[in-house]
Amino acid sequence: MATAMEMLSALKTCLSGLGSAFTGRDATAIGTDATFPVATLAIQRDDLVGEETEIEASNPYQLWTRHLMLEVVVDDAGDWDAALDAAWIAVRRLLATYPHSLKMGGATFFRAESGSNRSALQVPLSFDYELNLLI
Amino acid sequence: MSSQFDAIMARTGLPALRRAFGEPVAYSGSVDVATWAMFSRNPATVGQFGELIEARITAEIPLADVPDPQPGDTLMRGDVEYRVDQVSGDDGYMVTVVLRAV
Repeated sequence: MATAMEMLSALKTCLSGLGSAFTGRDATAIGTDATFPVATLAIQRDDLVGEETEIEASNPYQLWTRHLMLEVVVDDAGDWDAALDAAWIAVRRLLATYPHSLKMGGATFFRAESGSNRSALQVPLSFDYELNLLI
Repeated sequence: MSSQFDAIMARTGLPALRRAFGEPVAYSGSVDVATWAMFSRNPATVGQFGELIEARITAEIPLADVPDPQPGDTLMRGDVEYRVDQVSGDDGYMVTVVLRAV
């Protein structure tokens, strides 16, 4: 099993097929000349794998589930129904090729505001990773 | 019934605004008229987890020329065509519309 950062990096590479994919601070400074759709990955929290809510802190080998949010901004040219549907299909197609185990939830759609051609969708994702304190 | 302020605006205020900030535009839709407008660009954030700052364009148009603007009307500013997405208010002299380039 890979580390969290290895999993995140692979996920970013996988989503770059959509257009541009950003993590970290880069995700907070997307230029208006970016190639849309633009995907951003934001880490949200870690839970223990399985039903456990606590773990002995001295346990040197730990399994965690990292939760993150995928947000995709599209340039909808005034038709966000079609643009968001196409982006959601593309996201699912790309995630199907992700080489590690990945869980995904349903998508939430956000239409463009007045004066804007940019709509968005959000998809919660999670993956398990290992923390080996003996290394 | 018009007030003295209305008279001042018609005689002095609006012509001064037009001279200082006005640009010629062609308005079409609810009314077809060659008039003028004052444009503003305001930053707005798109996205909750990613963040993109984009400029939203609004225009103030003389209410006397465009008394009842409607979403879907169009406005030509030079070679650029805008669609009226929303009417966001008026002050009795100028009406403000939210524009989207098409």
